[in-house]
Amino acid sequence: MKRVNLLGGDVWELLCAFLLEGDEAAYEQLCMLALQKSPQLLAYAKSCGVPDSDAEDIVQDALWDALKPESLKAIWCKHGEQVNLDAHLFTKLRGRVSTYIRKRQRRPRHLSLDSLLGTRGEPTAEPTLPALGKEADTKAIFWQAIYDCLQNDLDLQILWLATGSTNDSGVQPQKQRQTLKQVAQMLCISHDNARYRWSQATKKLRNCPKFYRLCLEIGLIDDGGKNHA
Amino acid sequence: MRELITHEELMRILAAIQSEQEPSQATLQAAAEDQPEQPLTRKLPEPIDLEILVDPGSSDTILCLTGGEKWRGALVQCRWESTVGATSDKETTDSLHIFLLMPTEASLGQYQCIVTLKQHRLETIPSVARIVPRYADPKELQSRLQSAVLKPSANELIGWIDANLRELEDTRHRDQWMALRQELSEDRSL
Repeated sequence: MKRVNLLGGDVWELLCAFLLEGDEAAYEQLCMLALQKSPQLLAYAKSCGVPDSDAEDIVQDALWDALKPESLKAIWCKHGEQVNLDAHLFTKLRGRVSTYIRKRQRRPRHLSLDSLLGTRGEPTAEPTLPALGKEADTKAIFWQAIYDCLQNDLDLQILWLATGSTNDSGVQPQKQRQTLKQVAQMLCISHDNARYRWSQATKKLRNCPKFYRLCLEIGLIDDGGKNHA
Repeated sequence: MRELITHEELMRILAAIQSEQEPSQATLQAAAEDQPEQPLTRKLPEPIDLEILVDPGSSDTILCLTGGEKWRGALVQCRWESTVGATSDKETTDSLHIFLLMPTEASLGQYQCIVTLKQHRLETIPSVARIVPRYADPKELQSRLQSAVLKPSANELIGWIDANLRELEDTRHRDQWMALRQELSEDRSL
């Protein structure tokens, strides 16, 4: 049996046959190739937190999106011979998963916070976020609290980039914490401006009662009898 | 007034928020055994609200950004940092950056941009920043654009400036934005 290369090559030929000559057999073969990826797509959807009961539907929808003739034509035009069916399928799936998660996040958010209140009274000397690491909703709540305090897109990005991420969800971790000079370059602002805004933003956060309460509630800081109130 | 949180506490909190679980050994092994290499992905939570997908091919890399309303028509800079050599006391780093323009039309409520970086195999998730027109310095932008591996065309950049004119009008850099627009239109800036 002929081995089909998902990353260009034969996919390109199949796309040409379907889009240029209307070859239905070529389209069916493309569909079969895509369906062969279902297990990986399903695993990916589940790894993003989609429950088993919904994951299959989402994968089906993503496959349906990806295999629409207009969608195939778009990647064929955009990437030419470098067309990558794999990436196309994952891109469509990510769109579906994202929409699904967004809809789920619109449910009352205090439920997620409440679920974390079990950690109250058990603060650690070196705060870590065992729950936050797993709970995307809670991370969103956290960053929303920061945004609510700062009320500024630029300051939010400065904080995000400067504190960086120590890992990504891919196989190869990359340390992404950046200096303020690099942050300034990323945002196309002056280094002085980045320094000033960083200083003001962190000061604001340190004095923000809402942010403080959130940190306290989930055990990131210990009141320690300081009686801040 | 006494601060509610000390600077050290805040730094620890932010570091903790940003940290994510290391992929388990099983995941790494499964990934290594998986025949077709999976794209790398990362979701930045709201209010950043962006998903990044990197799919390294044999010699090229596909980058896909998918964001919510804030990313509509945004000018975005992506930067890959990689350590290419290390000595006992300092590291040499090599970085690569690109600019791209997010679409103004949404698909399923999301704004998505896919680009292929020819001749660059990148195996990490880049840092991503959205240029905020109100605060950006056109001279800094021009300098970064000049060294970018990939960037929008002069016409696309003019379109971005025009789309943000109202926001740029009140800024101290207004005249420089107009000068940059003029240079772009004469195709002598980049």
